[in-house]
Amino acid sequence: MRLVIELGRILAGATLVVITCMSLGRLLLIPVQNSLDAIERAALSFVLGAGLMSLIVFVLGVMGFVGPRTYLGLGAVTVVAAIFMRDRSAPSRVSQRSVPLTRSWYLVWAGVLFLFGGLYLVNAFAPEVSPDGSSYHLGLVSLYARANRIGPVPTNFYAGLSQGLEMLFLVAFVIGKHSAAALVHLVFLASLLGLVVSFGRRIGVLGLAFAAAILVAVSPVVGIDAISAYNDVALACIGFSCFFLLTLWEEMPTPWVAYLAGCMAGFCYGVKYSGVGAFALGPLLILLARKPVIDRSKAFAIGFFMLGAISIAIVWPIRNAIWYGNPLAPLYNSVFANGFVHISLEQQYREAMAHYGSLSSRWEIPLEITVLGFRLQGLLGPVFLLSPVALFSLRLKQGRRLLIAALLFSFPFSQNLGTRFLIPALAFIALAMMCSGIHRRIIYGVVLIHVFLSLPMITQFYCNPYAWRIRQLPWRAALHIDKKHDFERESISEWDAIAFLNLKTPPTTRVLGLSAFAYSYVEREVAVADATAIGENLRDVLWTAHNLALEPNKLVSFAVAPKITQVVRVHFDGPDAKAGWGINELHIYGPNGEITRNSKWLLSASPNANEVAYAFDNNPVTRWATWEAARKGMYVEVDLGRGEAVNEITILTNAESSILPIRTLTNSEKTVLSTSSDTSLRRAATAVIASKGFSYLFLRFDDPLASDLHDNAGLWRIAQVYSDPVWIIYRIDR
Amino acid sequence: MVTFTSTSLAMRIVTIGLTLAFISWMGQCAAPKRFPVPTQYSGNSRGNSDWSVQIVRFYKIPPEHPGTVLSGIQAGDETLPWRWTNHKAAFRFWPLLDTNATVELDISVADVTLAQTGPVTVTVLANNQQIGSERYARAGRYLLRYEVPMPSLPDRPLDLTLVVEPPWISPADHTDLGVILASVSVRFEKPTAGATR
Repeated sequence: MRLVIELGRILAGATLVVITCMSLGRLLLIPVQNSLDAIERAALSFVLGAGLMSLIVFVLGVMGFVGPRTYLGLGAVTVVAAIFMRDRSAPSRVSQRSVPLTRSWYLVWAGVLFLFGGLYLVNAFAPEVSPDGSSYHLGLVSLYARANRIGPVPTNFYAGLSQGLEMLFLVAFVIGKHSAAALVHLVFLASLLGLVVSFGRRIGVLGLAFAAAILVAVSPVVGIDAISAYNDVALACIGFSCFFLLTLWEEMPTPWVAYLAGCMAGFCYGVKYSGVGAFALGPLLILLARKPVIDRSKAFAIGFFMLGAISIAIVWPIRNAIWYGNPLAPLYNSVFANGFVHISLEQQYREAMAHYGSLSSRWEIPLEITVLGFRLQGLLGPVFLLSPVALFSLRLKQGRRLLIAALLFSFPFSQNLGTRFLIPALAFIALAMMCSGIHRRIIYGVVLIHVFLSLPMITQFYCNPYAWRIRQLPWRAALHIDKKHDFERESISEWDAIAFLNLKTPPTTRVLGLSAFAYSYVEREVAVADATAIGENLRDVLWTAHNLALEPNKLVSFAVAPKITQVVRVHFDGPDAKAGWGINELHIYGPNGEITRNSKWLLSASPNANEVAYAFDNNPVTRWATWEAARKGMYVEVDLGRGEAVNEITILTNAESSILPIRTLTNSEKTVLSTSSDTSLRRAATAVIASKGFSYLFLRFDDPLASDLHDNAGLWRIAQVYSDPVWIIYRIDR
Repeated sequence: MVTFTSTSLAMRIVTIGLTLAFISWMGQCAAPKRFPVPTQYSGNSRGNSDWSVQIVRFYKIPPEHPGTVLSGIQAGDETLPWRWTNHKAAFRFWPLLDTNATVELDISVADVTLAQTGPVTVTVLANNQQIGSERYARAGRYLLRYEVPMPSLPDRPLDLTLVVEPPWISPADHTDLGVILASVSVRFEKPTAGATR
């Protein structure tokens, strides 16, 4: 019975999303549905409806409507509307020009799809264990579901990304939890394949399109991504929908088709920032359209395309501007200064994504993304080493269109070298390969080799043992009959530690994770240090107390010629210093001693004005810092509220900052003094973390702070409450 | 002469108004944000308390409430709990308001210096006021303890200076050296708290 309920919930969650999307999509497709066949109708209505549904779910969530009742109500209304407004005409037949596929090849491709479909379905039903899916994709969804509201999450870097797909995951999650969300993602793969085949049928290459669809569908990285609560396959599907609608527009150049294509471009951005290239796809393909479409119509079409794109995408920049002070959060923080993400964090993130650490040369990329699959996290399959043959398709009009789309959707790969960042371009590349003019039988043979090489039991013989791919058929886990959670425990090392948090801590507990972990399974509020400005500041206070290099043991004193002044400013006055500059405490003295901080004082700084208070809170472990390279003119300023006699300014800081060229507004003599180490800093650090509401620390055994926390637990005022060979949990005692 | 219809005039007024509003908004965005002084952390050793002990010492495990070395301490082996002073060394401590202070110095006079300099005089000053002076003719470890009455402490850091006369010039690097210092501590204590403790 438990089995039926569990599987029923998963299926119900995913089905509700699919039905609601398709109902909404049907409404959008009414003006054009006579031009579509059954597969096109089904696939396009799902994808178009998904774009609209994600907007509706977001708006409802912000208004505080998150939960099964809301989503069942939404589903019911849309289904009723779709039934009332449905067109009873039969789907059109658009395959007149196609070269028919022989029965035997149909059977071969159907067999392949059945085999891999079963493999994917079992893995999607199994508990979500992917790194990003079990952490932030569903971690945020889980947070929204528990809060019954969608709101700002200033402790999570990824909360600033567009979350179009997470809105669909949310609907599935509140009913069927993690696996339901993964199933929704898998439906996007099915839709993508349907659209690829339909496109092939429209341009007269049905058999080759089938082969292209297989090439994409069985690719190991596509498989593992599709069965996870990720968004790359969804982006591929939405991007292809945009392309498909633009192809349809050539046959049926109405503003509505252009608008719908634009909506898909906007939804690409709404699902993942790297889909922004779809904005350029519309204008490019419309301008390249054949001549009978007159120029004025093209201009109108581009206008409607952009209108559609903006109408779907605009919600995310607006959300980010209001919640995070940066419409493009969590990126471009140097353009839109905000308190959400430090510039240095964004720089580190971009650096990490652009190089993936262990690559010694860009020449390693082709083999890594097609065969080895470890360092760039996934493999496309060795057959994709042949992808340059796609260039032969340039001689055909459709080939050129496909390659333009491939180029636009693969551009983000230059910024993020993860193999999965090529997934959105993969269908275009595969179709272009099919259109290269190579004999059909050779192509089919190559695709069959690809299928063979993509079988999990074969992949293991050539890829890196740690490559990100499907490894097994976890049917017991998929049926959710394994009460010991062996599958989860095997895939998520922190499973038992998470269970401890869920069982042994109060429901209102806030947990600070010093390492990333699968927090979507934690039924407590979690923030990961290093993830945003708040997390970095909390990590920084721990490091300040732990690391001699950051310890505030230098007192920089500026003896000022006695002067009445209302404004005291300390500024950076030298060449750029890459490591940045910080102030732990700033004190001002007059002839009669320290000028006591009071409510008339107004503090400001540039950059990071939001954190200037850290230099005036009497806590030596907190600090205002530039969090980027220090540049001439950066400052901290105090308006004393009235003229005061000032003759000394002191800055408590670390050794590195103390030797930087810091000046005061007035001429002064600078002296650097040393203070002894201070063990009370540890207590002060955990006091800061506790003051932010966190009562538990969650970390790995190899965290740089782990030894210090263990050896000096008393000084830190923490108590170890859980440990296993990998994970440790401390309670902060106040 | 240019004349405006009421409609175009209204449009212009609206346009100008919107432009001004936009410029004003942009100006607000560009203006530096200013913040009040935050709540003060009270767990600091120099917070609200009736007494406080601040120490300069050189153990591997540092003291909870440290003072500051201003000058005159030689670099040394970090594993050893003592350092050579120059003939003049200075330290800074932060008094609580309205407290007396008890200063303690843990020093050693070395044979090697006495052999060359003869008896040495160690003088201690608090904010440039002498609070004690000792003369040592024999090598050994000495604990100096002085009371600094409340009126002597201004509402400022307490700067202690240790002066050793005559200095010993190290033949190795010609540095002037004074005594071997293990610690300098100051106990700040409100008179009433001291009476009841």
